[in-house]
Amino acid sequence: MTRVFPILRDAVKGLRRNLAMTLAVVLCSAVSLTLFGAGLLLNRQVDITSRHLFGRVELTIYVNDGITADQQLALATKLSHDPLVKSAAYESKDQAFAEFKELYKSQPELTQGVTADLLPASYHVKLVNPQDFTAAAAEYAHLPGVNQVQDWRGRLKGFFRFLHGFQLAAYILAAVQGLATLVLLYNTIRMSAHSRRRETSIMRLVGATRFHIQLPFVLESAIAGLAGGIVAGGALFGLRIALIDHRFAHQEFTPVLTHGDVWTVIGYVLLAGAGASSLMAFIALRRHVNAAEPKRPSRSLRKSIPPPRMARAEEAAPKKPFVGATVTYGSRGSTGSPDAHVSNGSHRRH
Amino acid sequence: MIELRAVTKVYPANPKPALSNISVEIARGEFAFLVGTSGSGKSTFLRLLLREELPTAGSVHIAGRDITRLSAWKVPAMRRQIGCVFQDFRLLPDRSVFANVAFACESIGRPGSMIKRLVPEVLELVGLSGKEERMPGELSGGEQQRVAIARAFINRPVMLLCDEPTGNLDPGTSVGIMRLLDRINRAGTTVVMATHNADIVNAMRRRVIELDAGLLVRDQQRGVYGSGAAVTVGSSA
Repeated sequence: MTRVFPILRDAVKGLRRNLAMTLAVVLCSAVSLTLFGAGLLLNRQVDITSRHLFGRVELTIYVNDGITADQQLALATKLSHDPLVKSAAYESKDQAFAEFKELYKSQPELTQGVTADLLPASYHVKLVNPQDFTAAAAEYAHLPGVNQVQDWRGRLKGFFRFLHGFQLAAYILAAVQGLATLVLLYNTIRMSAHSRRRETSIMRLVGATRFHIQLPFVLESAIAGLAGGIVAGGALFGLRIALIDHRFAHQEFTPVLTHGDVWTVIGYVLLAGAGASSLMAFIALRRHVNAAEPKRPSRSLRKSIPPPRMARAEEAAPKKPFVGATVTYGSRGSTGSPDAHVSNGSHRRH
Repeated sequence: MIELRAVTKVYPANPKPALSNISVEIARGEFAFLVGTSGSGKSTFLRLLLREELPTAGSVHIAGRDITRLSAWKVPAMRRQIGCVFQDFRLLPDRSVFANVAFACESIGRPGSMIKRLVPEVLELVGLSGKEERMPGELSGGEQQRVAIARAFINRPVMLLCDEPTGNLDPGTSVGIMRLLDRINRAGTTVVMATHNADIVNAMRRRVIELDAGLLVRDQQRGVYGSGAAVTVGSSA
């Protein structure tokens, strides 16, 4: 059973020892996570807006006031049998007027003087595949009795492109900043591991598992990542309050992000902060721990082993230089004593 | 217990082998001195037993197991059977005596209750009772080495590897450390000790394995430090 407390204590100690570096990691990750979170929120907002605008209707076919019953029947039949069309709802002039009044009830000056007569009847069409709107629009625009086909998606294209641009920019910035944060984290962990190499080497020697050696470091950077995530979460929540609650609370163009959406994104941001930083620490440490373990000898090294020498140093002692010496002894005129050729010092006492 | 079979170790940067075709067997419970000049291969010998190095050729067996073929995840379990003590003590300077010894237990995930029981026990064994809260900097060299031995021994390894444990100590203190190692050995732990200290080797009269330039030149039961001249110097001193 692994004990949590000593490991947690080591992790906190490691963070405090390198406070400046920890702060840098926390701030850096906070910035990148805020950008990441902003991208996610923007994504969600685009989703909400497009669902609101296209949720019920993708095309609106306005019919002429003077449409004949035959023309209307032909149009309704064609719509109900069209494979492109998912559903089509008829809206009479009266219904259109009622909706118009409902929509602008806060601005009575706009509805003043408008009567049901002025508004056209229409079919609200939802397509099976929303991508088909150009084809569908073209098909109905020239039918008798049809006044105009309104293609909502086409008209709002520019607006969505603008939102998507923002979103893309947020993601790109988040990626660049995130990369910088990860490199910083990698460096920090390596430095931390280096400054604690005495501890880790003892741990290795007493038989700590790799997991146990890496855990304090991984935990340490997870804490830093989580701290960055919390700062980012705070920033996102602040942004939600400043922008939406105060600025866009009263617009009626589209519903806006709820608090629930922001909380979900904050959850993702915390998860990404802790997850990415622990993963990075794990990678950084794998190299550190691997470097300490011995490498298998290379094949070339194994081949380069000289043939085994004799086990006894006396026997293995180089004899060649003494051959010359022997000659010298011999020539010194010991008159060919049988002992003269004995060269090994250990035998000299004979 | 320990067996080296035809072990050769060549470091990549040096064509001359650090150990050359060494075959040695050390039985369970034995006390063996590893002697030889600096660079003779003593440290490589110990590092091979710890699996801090792998041999270029040959195999190293501990408790019947070839540790050179051990998969990486089994290495920690193998190292738990081995304690090691170094010349430079290798204590953690920012932790108390108690924490230094407990560190070896914590590192292998022992529960806190066990640590609280084992640490005072082993500190008493090495003669440091009452100094639990001291910092390593406040201890003498001999005391620091006792802490290191306590740390090496707390997980009850079956063998203790000592790399010149008395190298930084004065002769009187060294004797105390040797008595401690002897006690540990008599309790059944195999001890392999690399040393330069002729007096200690000569006084203990235990097995002596002598290395010279990577070759095994002597393996003697109840041996002395050097052969011939070295004995004379040792005994005349």
